[in-house]
Amino acid sequence: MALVRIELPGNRKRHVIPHKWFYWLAASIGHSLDDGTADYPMRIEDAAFDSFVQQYERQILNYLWRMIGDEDAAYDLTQEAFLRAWTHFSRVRNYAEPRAWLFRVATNLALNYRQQRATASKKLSPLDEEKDLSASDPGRTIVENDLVHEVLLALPAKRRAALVLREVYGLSAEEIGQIMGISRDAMKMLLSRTREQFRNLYIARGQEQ
Amino acid sequence: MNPDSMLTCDLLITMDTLSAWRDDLLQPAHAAQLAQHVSTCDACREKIATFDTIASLLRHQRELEPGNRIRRAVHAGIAQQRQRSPFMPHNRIVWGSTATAILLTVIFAVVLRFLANHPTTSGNITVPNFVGQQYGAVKSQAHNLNLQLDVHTVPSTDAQQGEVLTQNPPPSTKVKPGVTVKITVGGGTDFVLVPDVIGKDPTTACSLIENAGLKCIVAAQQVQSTSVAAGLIAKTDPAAGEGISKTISPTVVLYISSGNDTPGPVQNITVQNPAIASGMKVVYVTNNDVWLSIGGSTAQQLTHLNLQGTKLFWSLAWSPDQTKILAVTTNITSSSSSSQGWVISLPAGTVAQLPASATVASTGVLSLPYWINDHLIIYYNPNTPSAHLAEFQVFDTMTQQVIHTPFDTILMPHAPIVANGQLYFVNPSIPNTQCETGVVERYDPATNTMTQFLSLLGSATEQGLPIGGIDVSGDGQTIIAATVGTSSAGCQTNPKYTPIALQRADGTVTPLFTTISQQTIPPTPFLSPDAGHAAIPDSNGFAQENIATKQIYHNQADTSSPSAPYPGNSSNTALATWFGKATPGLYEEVAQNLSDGTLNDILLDYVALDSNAAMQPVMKLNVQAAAFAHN
Repeated sequence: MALVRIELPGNRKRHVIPHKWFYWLAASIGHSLDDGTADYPMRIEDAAFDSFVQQYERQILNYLWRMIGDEDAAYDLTQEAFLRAWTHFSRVRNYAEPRAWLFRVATNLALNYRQQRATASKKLSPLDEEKDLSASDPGRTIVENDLVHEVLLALPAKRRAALVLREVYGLSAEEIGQIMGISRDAMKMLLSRTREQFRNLYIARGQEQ
Repeated sequence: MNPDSMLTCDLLITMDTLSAWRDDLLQPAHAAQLAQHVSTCDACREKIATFDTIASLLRHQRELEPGNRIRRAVHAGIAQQRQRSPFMPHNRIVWGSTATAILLTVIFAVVLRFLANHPTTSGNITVPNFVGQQYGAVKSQAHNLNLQLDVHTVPSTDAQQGEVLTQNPPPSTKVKPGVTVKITVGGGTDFVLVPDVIGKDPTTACSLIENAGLKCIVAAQQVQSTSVAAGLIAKTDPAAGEGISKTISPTVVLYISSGNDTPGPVQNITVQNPAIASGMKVVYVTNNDVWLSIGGSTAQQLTHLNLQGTKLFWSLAWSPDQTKILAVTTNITSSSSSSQGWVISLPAGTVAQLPASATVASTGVLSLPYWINDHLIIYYNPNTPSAHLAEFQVFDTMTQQVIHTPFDTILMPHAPIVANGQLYFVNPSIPNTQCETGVVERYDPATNTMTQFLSLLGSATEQGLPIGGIDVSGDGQTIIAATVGTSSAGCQTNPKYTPIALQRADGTVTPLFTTISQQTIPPTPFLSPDAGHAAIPDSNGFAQENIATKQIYHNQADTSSPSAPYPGNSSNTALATWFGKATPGLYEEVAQNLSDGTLNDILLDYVALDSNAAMQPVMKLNVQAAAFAHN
């Protein structure tokens, strides 16, 4: 049984108590084990989780930023991804590759976000999905001149995810296939077509500018 | 990217094939043929260059800074969830009904799977004879017959590559739709079986795996095991007996057993100054468990290294980007013992042992390995003539290769310091003589070149041994140096003195604390990164029992009035290091007691220096070794 050692207020003696009692006890007496810098009682899991967030937040944030092109939404969805990780942290921390799990969650969040935005935009105007995504994106003004960002956002979302995961974050094609639920053969085609489309769009839009 | 290329490939290799090659999705034999072709085909190379350009464009996009925004929001979200369900991180209220539903679903799925997979003589599909056929053809047949395939690739002759070698159920068995047929496919000579290393120690296990032509990574995450003792390998991924490609996926991940129990108790940190401690990440070792504490919070275990029963000196060093920790240990109880080293990668969650060639061979040069940048480390070359004539060697932790440098053959370099992205070290002019002057060399890893930075005031060797030390400011422009004085009587004639001086790259020299003159061994002085402060052990020196008193100079121009000494711990040896980029600087003092040979009572204090040069405690540890990073 996992044990937790705590020092109770007003009592210098150390107590060793069963792990599962600890949560009940800490919550019941409102005892905070942190140094006052956190907004909630620090627990052993919290320190590990904080480190986990610190390790991966930059990658997840910038993956979502590349996926949806909206800065505020990227921060919000990154927060959502880590809250989901926290809910399942006892399991996620034991994965050999927790990063792949995070990318899967982030990919699903990005694809859902895109669908929601597309559905909302169709109600507003008949513009095509990708153009509307760009037009309604507040972060868009910041990156108007960023040809790479523009081309990336013009790719279909699944292609965009596959290309970014492969080329920016170095995931293997097999790992990306597992994240996106795509077979090895389909992934082969997807990555090839995406590279070709990126190349063509980049050249075409580069000539327009 | 060239929009109008006229180049064509003689073999009409498509973009799809080249893309699959880039993604390691080709069969090994095919990949090898393609590699040979690409080396002579301009058209293919141009297409591959396009892929590289796309990757480069994507990697160099502007990136967002996470800052504190995400962590604050996540903390707030967690606090809200806890208010709703204070007992556990997970919502237990729905657990009863959810558990029942999950249990029923699992039972249902198991029953279905059993029924689906159980071969029967009364089914309506006849399993074909797949043996001897190519895998691609078998895949199509299985799909058309509504059969699933469980494919295992195994070593074979190259002639049998891609060929189905065995199958189960056997041909002519009647089965129901959806049944899984297990087949083994020849992988050619590129495939090998993962060796069985369960129950072996990590070093032996890695050797066996590398001998099989594969690569070995030790996972940071340990697994509990009732059958394998703590510290030994309990699990591998892929498992023993699985076929694995030496070129496509050569890595075997080893999981160390934590035994049938949880790790030992955490050696807590006592935080005395939360404001400063909140910005620190401390890594330390107790009982071969490596712990990480962020902001002074309770530590989490990073890994356990199987070295129980030995008396070890640990060195820990953060990489400059604070994503990796270099952990090196030396057995101090054996005169011929060697060191072992590991790189603990926090993002990847892996612990990779350095090869034997990248570790210090002898206790005679118990000097810390250093990170030069985020992937290069420097250490004493174990293959040099003797411990006292050791050379530096540079090792690339990414490519696992030794980098040959201009100082590969310099004998007896010492006091390596990294500043401003470059490596500084003392190069004795004529090594292994009684009393020789030396220079400070500067090595630029970007160009792999070495230039002379400045000449030292005093001797860099004494009785043929490296002596003294240097520290360099963050901008690489100021050095504080302590060496043996070269009086007319020679450096071996007592009293010796230690000229401690600040030297600038332009040659300016400011004498500092020249009264420190009665020492057997010059203590290493420490310079704050902004060169505004210096910390120097006082005249009691290292050889005395009670030594760790530091004189703090708070202005490099003021050489006459150091601040009140900072009283350190009573012990045999002491080290001090500056951290932080400006005042208030962080100052680390490590005091260790080797007298009983157990190394279990090393004390470690972090103290901070405020703008008035007053010392205040930050945190305290009682552990074997530690290092911290400061954001």
